[in-house]
Amino acid sequence: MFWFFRIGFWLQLVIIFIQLFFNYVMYDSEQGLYFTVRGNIYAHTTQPHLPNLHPLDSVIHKTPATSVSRSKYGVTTLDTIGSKTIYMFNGQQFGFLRVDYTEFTKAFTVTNMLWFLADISFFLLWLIITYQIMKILQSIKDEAVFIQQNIKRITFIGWAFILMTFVEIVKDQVFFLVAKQHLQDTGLTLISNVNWYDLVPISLYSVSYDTMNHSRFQGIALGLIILVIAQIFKNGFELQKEKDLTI
Amino acid sequence: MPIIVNLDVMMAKRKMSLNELSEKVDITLSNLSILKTGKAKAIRFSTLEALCKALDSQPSDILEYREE
Repeated sequence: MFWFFRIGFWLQLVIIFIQLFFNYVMYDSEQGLYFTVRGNIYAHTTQPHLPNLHPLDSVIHKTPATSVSRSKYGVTTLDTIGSKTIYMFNGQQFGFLRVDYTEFTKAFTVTNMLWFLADISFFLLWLIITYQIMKILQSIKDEAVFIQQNIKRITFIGWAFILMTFVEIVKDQVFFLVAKQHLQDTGLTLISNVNWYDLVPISLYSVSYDTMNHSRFQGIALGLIILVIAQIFKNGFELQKEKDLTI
Repeated sequence: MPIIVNLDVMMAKRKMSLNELSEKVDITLSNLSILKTGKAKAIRFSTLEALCKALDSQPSDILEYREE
């Protein structure tokens, strides 16, 4: 267990740099290395191509996607060439929104910078969480589990999960605003009935860290459970102190 | 603490060193010094028994209640 997390920690460190490099840095023979953001949004409206089927079902049958997930308002597919599409249908009109990860946007917009910051803070938080788990496992190895530092470590992990969930929620909100603007630009009104959380499956630029699940509240629940465990550890710490002073 | 541990007095009476006592009673030196300085929160009956046996005394010789 300990070695698993120790190897995981260093592996994560390497992966972070590779990820950041490939997601945000581009090389051009003219410009050299420059900062960029992966992902480009398109929005279109079409008629359903297979009238017998429900349009969303026809999407599932026709798309060569690696993963498909359904939500109330649409179907999200992640296909092999590195683009993600959400297909929507409101009864009359059929539309789709596509995010292409193979293309780059060079714009230094507020949204892009927000995404970059969110990604970096995520990587760092995951790294620190792995480090803390490593330390906790080390303390188990040293046979001193109920110590003050472990309470701090577990409390940190709990708050980190809650914070990450809030960052994700903000990210979803920002993505929804961007997507809405794009859809309005193409004249697709379909989106008006859709809530931001129905669009969550296509988080804009992060390929690796987003889930296909549109509920973010599991993260908060997880954080709260970890905080409860921290409280249990606090109690355990008191008992341990009592036990140590019993001769 | 109104309960006073008179371990050092008994040790002086029996002319026993801290190392010797810890060996006889089979508790660590650090635990013995916690007991001697009065930092301990509780004492096990088994420890008290071993102390009484090693020092050839009664529990009342080791522990004393004094009103604050």
